[in-house]
Amino acid sequence: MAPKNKNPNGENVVPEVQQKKTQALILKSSDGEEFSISKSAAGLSVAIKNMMEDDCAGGVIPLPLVDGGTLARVITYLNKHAEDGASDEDKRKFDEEFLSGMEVDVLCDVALAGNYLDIRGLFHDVCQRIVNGMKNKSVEWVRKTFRIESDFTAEEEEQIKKEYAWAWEGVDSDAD
Amino acid sequence: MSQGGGNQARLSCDDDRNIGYIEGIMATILSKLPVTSVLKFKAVCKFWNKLISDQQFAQLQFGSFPKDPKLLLYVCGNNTGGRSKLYLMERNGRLSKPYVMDRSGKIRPYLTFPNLDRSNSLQLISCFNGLLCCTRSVGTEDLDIQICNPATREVLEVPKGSPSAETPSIGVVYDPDTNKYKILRFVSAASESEVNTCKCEIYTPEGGDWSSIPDIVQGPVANPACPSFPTHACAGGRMYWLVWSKEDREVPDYILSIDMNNTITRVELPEGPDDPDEFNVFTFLVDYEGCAELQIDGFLEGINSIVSVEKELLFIIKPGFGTSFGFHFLNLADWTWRTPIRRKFRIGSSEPVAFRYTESLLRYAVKIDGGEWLMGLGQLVQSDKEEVGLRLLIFGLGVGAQIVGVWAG
Repeated sequence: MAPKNKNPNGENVVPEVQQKKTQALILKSSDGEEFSISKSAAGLSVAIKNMMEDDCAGGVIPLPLVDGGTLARVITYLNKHAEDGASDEDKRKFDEEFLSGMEVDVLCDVALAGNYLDIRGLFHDVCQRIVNGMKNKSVEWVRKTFRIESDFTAEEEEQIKKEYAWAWEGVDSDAD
Repeated sequence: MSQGGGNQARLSCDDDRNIGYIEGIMATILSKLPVTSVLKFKAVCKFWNKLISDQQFAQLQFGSFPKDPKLLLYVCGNNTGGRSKLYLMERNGRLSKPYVMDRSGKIRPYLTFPNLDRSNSLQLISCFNGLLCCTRSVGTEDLDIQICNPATREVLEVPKGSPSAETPSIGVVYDPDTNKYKILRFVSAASESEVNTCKCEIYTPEGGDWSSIPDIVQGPVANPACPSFPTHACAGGRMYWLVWSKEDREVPDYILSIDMNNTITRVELPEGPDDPDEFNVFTFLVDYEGCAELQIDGFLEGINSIVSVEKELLFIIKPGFGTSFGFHFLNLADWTWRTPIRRKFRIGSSEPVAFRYTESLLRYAVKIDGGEWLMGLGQLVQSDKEEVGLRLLIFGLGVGAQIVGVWAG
């Protein structure tokens, strides 16, 4: 703890970190829901941590890009990972369970939030989950899932399919 | 390819909340997919097509795809019409079928390149960054060289080098960090009276042509007892090969190495644990990640390939120097052997070989800004053996083809 008790000039300061740990912060979702979270848990998000340091928040941090449902999930994740007694094994088990129940569209929302809030571990785990769901899926499935409209002409699309014809073998049916 | 937070300006527009159009996120997701999936998803939309075609993405994919090295196994056909086959082998010994059936019922090769079916003179030289360097005889004394990516099926025909009085010896040096590589062509220097003295020509995909370095060196030659064993090993951005004694063609004298700056270095053979003169014709160089000093009691005959994959070494062995071969994995952690495939393969018109292989989207030529690539001047320097990377194994096999020791240089 010692190094944290010094400011950049090396002078001793009150250990603010210890106070902060118990303090709560309000995160406000795009649809106006408010969530209370400990500063230590919120600090696992690099983006929120920066906002706390800039003190631009005044206790309430609005997150206009994250809806309430997604934010609730992210907070559950942060709380677990900030838990004092949680071992790495506990966290790993939690992550597994936490993500395994999510549909792809929910995973996409969490990936977006993880990227936006800069929570590295969450972001990469969620991406891996999405990847596992995409393997062997058809292009149509991917378009539907990611809400992408093809902007190719029929000829252009045919050309790409022809160029890598072998990659189209052994695709799963689109049924989920 | 930005990713992570601090991207708020970009995300502030609601349309941008569609994850499928956010470059940083999609690059991360797509880079974790196998190559065939990624190639297929080029057809999703123009944005994905552009993202996946980017050379930077290929580098990201090669770096982040879970490293699960497989083995590429080349089994040559025979002169009576058997076809040569390129198998992909998992480490559990499972072999891909050499041919797969597509949806329309058409049979197509699992891995293919233009020379494979037609030529029994095809030789696999090196496998690196998901690319394969192979050669095919042209006339009596020359070789065609191809670089191909079996996963994307792109092929580069390397232009011809200068004429050679004898069949040139080909090697590849590559830098695993930058994914750059050079092809080396050792051309017999006819004016020199010494045996196997070579001019060294170097081809870079960036330069697009061959250029010579001033040194005259002893080029890599096939092992006299195991002619199909690769003539060189590449480790840590250097290519190494054995130079055989002038007095006795069956005794290795020293090792030569060349790096990406064309600097040629002589490396003395390490002393064996028992007898420094133990190195005989059964001496092989193998790229191995890690270091080892060991004694193996296994009895080995006719070695075709020794390939390191993770913490194992794959030996392709011909029992009794016969006409069939088998696969044997040696676990370097506990010194146990395993033989996942009991099946014996028949040897065709030339010997089977294996290489470690990780699929990639990397292209045979990495575009860089013009003028950046400068040829270094080669020079022959004497070096201490400490300079050899720890990633090189030197196998010395004693009389009776029993491994007497393996040393990490």
